[in-house]
Amino acid sequence: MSKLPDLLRVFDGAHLPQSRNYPQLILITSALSTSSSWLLQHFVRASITNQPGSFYETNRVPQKRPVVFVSFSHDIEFHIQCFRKAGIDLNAFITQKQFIYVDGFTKLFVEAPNEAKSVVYLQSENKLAWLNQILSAIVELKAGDLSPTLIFEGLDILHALGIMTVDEILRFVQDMQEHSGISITSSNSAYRMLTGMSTLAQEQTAYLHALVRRAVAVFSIRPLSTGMAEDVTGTIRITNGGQPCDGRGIVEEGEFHYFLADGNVGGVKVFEKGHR
Amino acid sequence: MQHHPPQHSPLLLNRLLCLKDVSPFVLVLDTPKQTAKYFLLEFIHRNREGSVPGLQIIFLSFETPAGSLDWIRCSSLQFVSCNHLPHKRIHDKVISLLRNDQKSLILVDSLSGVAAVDLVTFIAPLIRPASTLVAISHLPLPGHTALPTPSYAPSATTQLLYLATTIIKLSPKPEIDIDEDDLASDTFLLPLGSNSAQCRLEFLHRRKSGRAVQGSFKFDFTTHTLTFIPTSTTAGDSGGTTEQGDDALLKDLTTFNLGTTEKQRIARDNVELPYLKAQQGDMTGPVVGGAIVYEFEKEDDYDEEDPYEDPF
Repeated sequence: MSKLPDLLRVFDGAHLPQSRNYPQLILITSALSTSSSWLLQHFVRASITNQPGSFYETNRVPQKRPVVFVSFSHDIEFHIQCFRKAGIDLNAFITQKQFIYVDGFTKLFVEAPNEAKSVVYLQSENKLAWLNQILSAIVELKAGDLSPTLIFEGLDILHALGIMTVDEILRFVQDMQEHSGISITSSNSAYRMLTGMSTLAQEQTAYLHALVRRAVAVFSIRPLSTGMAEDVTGTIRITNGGQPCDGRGIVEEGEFHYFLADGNVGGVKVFEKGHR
Repeated sequence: MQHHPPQHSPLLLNRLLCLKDVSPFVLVLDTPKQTAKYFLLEFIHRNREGSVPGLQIIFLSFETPAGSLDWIRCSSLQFVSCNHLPHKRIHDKVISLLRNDQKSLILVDSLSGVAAVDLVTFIAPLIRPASTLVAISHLPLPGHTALPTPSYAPSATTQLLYLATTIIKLSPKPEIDIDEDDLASDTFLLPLGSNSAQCRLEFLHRRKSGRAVQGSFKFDFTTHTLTFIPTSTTAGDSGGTTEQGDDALLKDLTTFNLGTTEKQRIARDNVELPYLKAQQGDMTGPVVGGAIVYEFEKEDDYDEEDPYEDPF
């Protein structure tokens, strides 16, 4: 039994661009105290299961879309646990060839990890090979004209660690975008990371602004400005990004509160401001 | 710089969009809160129906993925992905696509990827006879101004402002919703209403003569309309606000009264100032209001090179 029905009901398909035939980037921005993992999980689930109300096929014949999930901030165990608490069996998706996890995180820090068979590990010493490794995963899941959804998590760590410049990351994302229908990426947007004269702050600002300009929709997650609350974890705002997605392709904007039942994992409830 | 009457600017901007008037380099400035992509697409929309015979449209993409403009369905649009190409290769590609005698429209989705020191050498070969170059340059938000490299050189935006023959600046609709939460937030946040297909547009066109035409518009991509915003209305509004603001500042500042009452203000407005009256007169009657009128005659010995001899 899913624990995300409220989320699906509130988003109800109308908040995202309807067109799926052109490369589109969706950006999720989050603060230090509000993780975006739960929203990434929602998009995985919406894409693979194509539940009523998921964003891809409103007013069309339902069509499931597999997912390539590229993470530079977590290993697969973290997400398996999170998805389990949300009522989703990630291993089943992997077995059904609906989901490929590309781990860019582990080999950045561990030289010889215990490699899981179902996971694609990006080789830290060869950045040029990353493109081919992810491309192979996309091709493996591609069914006819339908490209898989591509999700990037924690890309900003690459420029923070000096592994890639901001321009290289942006080119990397764009190259990958051209091979998938919808790409989703997350970025940190806390002002304490963006302000100041340090190179890191200036690069993070440039990176965030560039992603905003390339995205068709921006989901901004932030904590409550009034402090902690028992029944509200934070606020999510949906706005247009800088990229027009089609002739009328304006996302329906809105702002909601959400509540994570068990810290950053588990059930999620999204509701209109002022409601519960 | 002398400005042209504002009523000319709506007509001129529409003519520029349809390429009936030539502006070799149109610079379009935007911010993360209001994208200029819709304005770039407006150029394609207005010229895709074959209104200009043989027109070639070349789209140089630095941040638009290939395939994401397919929905425009413009057969004369040639998409060039520039992400991995050196500038020389981009120039060669453009020249190979252009036919010499035909009109062309070259669109650049962002100049932000071009380093400040390379800007002029990148742009110059793209400005060609019978072609219009339209390029977007992204402005950072206030508080995020990047230092130019090297720091004593003019910034990229400054260089572009000097080069451009037409400058368009886009900003969100004034009625955009910024609530208290936005101001209190410690994260980067786009206000609701950002990056809409309807926005405000500031326009400045430099004519060959040196005169400039400028104006403000409401731009709507969904209906493809430009609505002129008369400057007199906004000037009047701001004048009134300033006067009221002055009064508020002066209140309780001293023990005596520095402000003006409404009655005093009306009385002051009704005072007829002599020099104003003199300017309004037709200067042909017997009273000429103290103006010195000198009519130059044939016999007058006027030496153009003598700075001290000025009969006027």
